[in-house]
Amino acid sequence: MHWSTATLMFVCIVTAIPLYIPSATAIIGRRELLVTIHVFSGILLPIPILIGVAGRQWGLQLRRDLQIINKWNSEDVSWFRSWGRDPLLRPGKFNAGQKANTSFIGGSILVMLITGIIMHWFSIFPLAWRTGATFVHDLLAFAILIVIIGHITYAIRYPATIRAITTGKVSRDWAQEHSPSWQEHPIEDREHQE
Amino acid sequence: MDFGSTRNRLNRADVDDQLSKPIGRRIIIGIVALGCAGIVFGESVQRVVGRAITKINPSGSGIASLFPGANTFRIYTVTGSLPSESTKAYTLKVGGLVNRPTTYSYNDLLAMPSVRLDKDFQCVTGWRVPNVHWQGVLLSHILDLSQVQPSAKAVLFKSFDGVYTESLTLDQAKRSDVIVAYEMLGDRPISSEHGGPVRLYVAPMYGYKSCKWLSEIEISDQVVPGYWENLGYDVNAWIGRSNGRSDAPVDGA
Repeated sequence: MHWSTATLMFVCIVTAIPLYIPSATAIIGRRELLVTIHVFSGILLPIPILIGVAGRQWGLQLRRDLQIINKWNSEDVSWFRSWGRDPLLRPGKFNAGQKANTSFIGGSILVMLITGIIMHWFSIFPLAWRTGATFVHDLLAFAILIVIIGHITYAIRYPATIRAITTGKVSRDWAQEHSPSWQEHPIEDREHQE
Repeated sequence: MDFGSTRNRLNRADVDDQLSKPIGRRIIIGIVALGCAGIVFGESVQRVVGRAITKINPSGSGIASLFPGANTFRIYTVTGSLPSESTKAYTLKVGGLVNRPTTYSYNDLLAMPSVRLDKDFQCVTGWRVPNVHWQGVLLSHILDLSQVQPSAKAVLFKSFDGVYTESLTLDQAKRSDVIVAYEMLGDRPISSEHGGPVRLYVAPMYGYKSCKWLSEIEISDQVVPGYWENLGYDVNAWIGRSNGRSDAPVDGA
């Protein structure tokens, strides 16, 4: 789930560059092909997530994770105050930064999809909406890029999180140190939805 | 985002804290609401942002022009690579239903009486570059020089990219805001990205009518749908009055 979404997002970003930057368009050309790839991967982008939550059995863990991500407590608010540095914090499976990242990207995918549809199938929308959608699409693209760079930077800074997302496992010690409130876990429960 | 069926297996940290709030859902709803507001009201915001960026960065190039909302062109090509031709090698062929078929060089066009237009470039997909400076020759002047025959009804355009075509009715082609342009964006020759050395500029219509890399003008007895029109765009592409909408025209068309 994470990796198919990441791959599609990566394709969207890479194809967006020559569509947006005039000098890159001039060098690379093949605009039509790029548009097709960009639109295609953009429309597919929400699909892995939807499949991921839909399964009665296989969607169980992801639904459970999303529920944790949805609910914020006072702990999460204090996490943001100190950007995770407060030693008294006892985050659960996901800290507030990870929660915010997930929700932001989730909402952004929806908005990029809506504005992208207006830009591509423009003829049923008023001209002012097309201009508005283009503006929102561009602006949010920059925000998404910044957030994803942050997401990857923090992942690299904490290599155990990369192991967690690739293998679905974290060591008991690491979990106790970084996610002290994350308990009640028999081993098989810790498998991430990939 | 309520996954009620799994509520019974929540994390301890969240169950413990009865004050927990569905912030995640609110973030998503908030972004979507902002996004939708942006679609509906973004045009006026973009106008303000675009004007501000133009004030800071009047040249319209460089890093500032990449900022979202900057009034910049997006470069469209329909072929694999960017078509390019030197002003020396450039020719414009005028033929079809005329008494005097002619081929003009770039310098021939420069020598003709020139007109100047400061008008918007509006793309059908939504982006717009306001107050672009255009300079060139009235298309009607070129038509007059070639002496259009009475049976003529339309003007067809061909691009030297080898693929792109466009057309106008003869009446549309004779308008005073339709020019064969050799300068745009300040007193600069048209770059190859923008369709240089010579392109068409049809001010009252969406950008796809303004054929880039113009190399041939053919006078015909009927309009032939061009490249985008074969893909579903309107042939009569009046800004704000075509392509699915009848909004108030952006420009006094």
